[in-house]
Amino acid sequence: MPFPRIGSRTMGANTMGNRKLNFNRDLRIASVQRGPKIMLMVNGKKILAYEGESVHAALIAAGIQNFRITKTGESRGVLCGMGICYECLVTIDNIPDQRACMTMVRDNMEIITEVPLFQKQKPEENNMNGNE
Amino acid sequence: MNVQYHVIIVGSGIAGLSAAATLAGHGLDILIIDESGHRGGQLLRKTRLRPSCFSKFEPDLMKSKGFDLVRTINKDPDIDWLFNARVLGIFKDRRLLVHIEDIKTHGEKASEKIIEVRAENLILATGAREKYLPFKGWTLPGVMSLGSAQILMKSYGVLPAHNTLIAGTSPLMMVLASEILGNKGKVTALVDENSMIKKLTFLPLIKRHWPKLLEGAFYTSRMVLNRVPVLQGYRVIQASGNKGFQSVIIAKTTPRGDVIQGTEVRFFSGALLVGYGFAPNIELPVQAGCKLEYQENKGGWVVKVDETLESSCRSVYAAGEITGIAGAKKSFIQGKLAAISILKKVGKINARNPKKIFTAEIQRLLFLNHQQTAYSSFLNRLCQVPASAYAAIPDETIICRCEQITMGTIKKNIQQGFDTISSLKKATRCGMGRCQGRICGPVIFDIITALTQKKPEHIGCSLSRAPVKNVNIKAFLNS
Repeated sequence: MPFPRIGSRTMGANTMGNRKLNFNRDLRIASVQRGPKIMLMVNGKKILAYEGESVHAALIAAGIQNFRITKTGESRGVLCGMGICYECLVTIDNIPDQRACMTMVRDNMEIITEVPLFQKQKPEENNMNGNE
Repeated sequence: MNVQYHVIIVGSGIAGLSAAATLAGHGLDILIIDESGHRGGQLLRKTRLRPSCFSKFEPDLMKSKGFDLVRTINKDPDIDWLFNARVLGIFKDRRLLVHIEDIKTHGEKASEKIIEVRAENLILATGAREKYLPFKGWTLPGVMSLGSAQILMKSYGVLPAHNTLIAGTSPLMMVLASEILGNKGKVTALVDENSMIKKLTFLPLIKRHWPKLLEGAFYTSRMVLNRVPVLQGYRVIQASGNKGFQSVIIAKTTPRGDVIQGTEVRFFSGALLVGYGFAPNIELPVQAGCKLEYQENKGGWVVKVDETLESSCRSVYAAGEITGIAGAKKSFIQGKLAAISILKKVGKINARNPKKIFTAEIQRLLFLNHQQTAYSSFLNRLCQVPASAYAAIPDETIICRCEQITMGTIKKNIQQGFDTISSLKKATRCGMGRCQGRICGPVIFDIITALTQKKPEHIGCSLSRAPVKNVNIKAFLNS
């Protein structure tokens, strides 16, 4: 074994003297200017997000990596992040299979992750013929 | 919004922007269509930093050039924009079906519909996507592409994880590691598939592009300063974790690309970022009927174009990464070239119009284009994974993520004679899922090549039909 305990050693930015680590709460980078604070309901829990963020960024920042669930029950998360791979599908405001990476957050948005296939059946009254 | 335009540009990346900037001011109606909600494609994503932060050192000249382009085009009244819109297909006489979404601001659901626009000239600048090398556990949440992490950081100011391991063959790994460190994140390790010796053998290909080496040196020094372990000549063998990614096993490879048994090392990390180079987004040109050619040094199947960048379809031009992966500079030059070709064709520039761009300029651009193509062969050779790596993928590894088709199934069917992309697709359903083979297509091509040694022309490329992007049936009902 040429590199034994390498993964467990502390390394990276925190070894650079007095640099402060800024992810005590979430994964957001402190030096970035953000829009107004909003609330999301993710799987029944309230989560803080900022306007101008995409759904996938808000979820990852909150530490949620698992987005969709396959037919066989495997969990999947973000892969390409640019709307190509369809691995980040979540249910947003009762509409199933929305790409989290291509949808921007709105206040009080309701997001459900890892919805199994049998729960995705849309109710009959769901509008198939327009926006009314 | 009109229904007819002189020029329609699909994709607002560097190529699309530079084409639009060149076309503007000649009295032509121009429409730019982009799938995302912002101008500039994948390269031009701007982080809004707090005012107290001093501006960061930007080693990439193309980016500042690109942002300038966005600013000048923004003011132009000739140019119409369609955001959050995807072209579903290109039909006879360059009629485009476009799916548009009205994103309403507060609480309301988006309404979608499909419209038809017609273009006298069409510039396709659909860009590229990332390539992958599947390994056991690459479907675990937490395994992301390099580009994905870059979008997270640049567009939204979010780190991919508390500590990140970066692996692959792409030179972008260095850039990304440096960005993570710059944003005060942690990089567990950087695992480079290319050994030092392999990299040095590619060095003669870099020729006039030696400033890129300085850029590399800048990133390397950052790595050294932050004591990030850099492992060269190692490949990711397996990612594991309970419900999400937790650890990764890497192993040393021989120069020929075979894994050396007994050299496995395990790393624990919050996320694994992988990057194995790029593949052009050729679905739309394929649907439109443009001829392709296989160019190993340009990133695989690319759109075949002549010197004016016109494809085999009349008045359909291709610019940027879809004519060969070579980065932002080539996209910039090709966008300009395609625009000049159109201006010449419609008679806006000719020999009697000396104020405007002239033959000498075209010659210069063609020369630059050629130079960039030479650089691209360096880039793509560096990113290339040896064929043996694809042949050695374990049978239980998932190749087609959408349809969950494993390497074992694919191998079995290839042995039974399904050795073209189209026949394999029909036999196994690989590439029929939601992503329509955008992720697994290039992988399956490389697997067939590695297992059968057949010619690219025999293996072929996945067919695309309209609609080339997924769309709700509701959108058709609304139109």
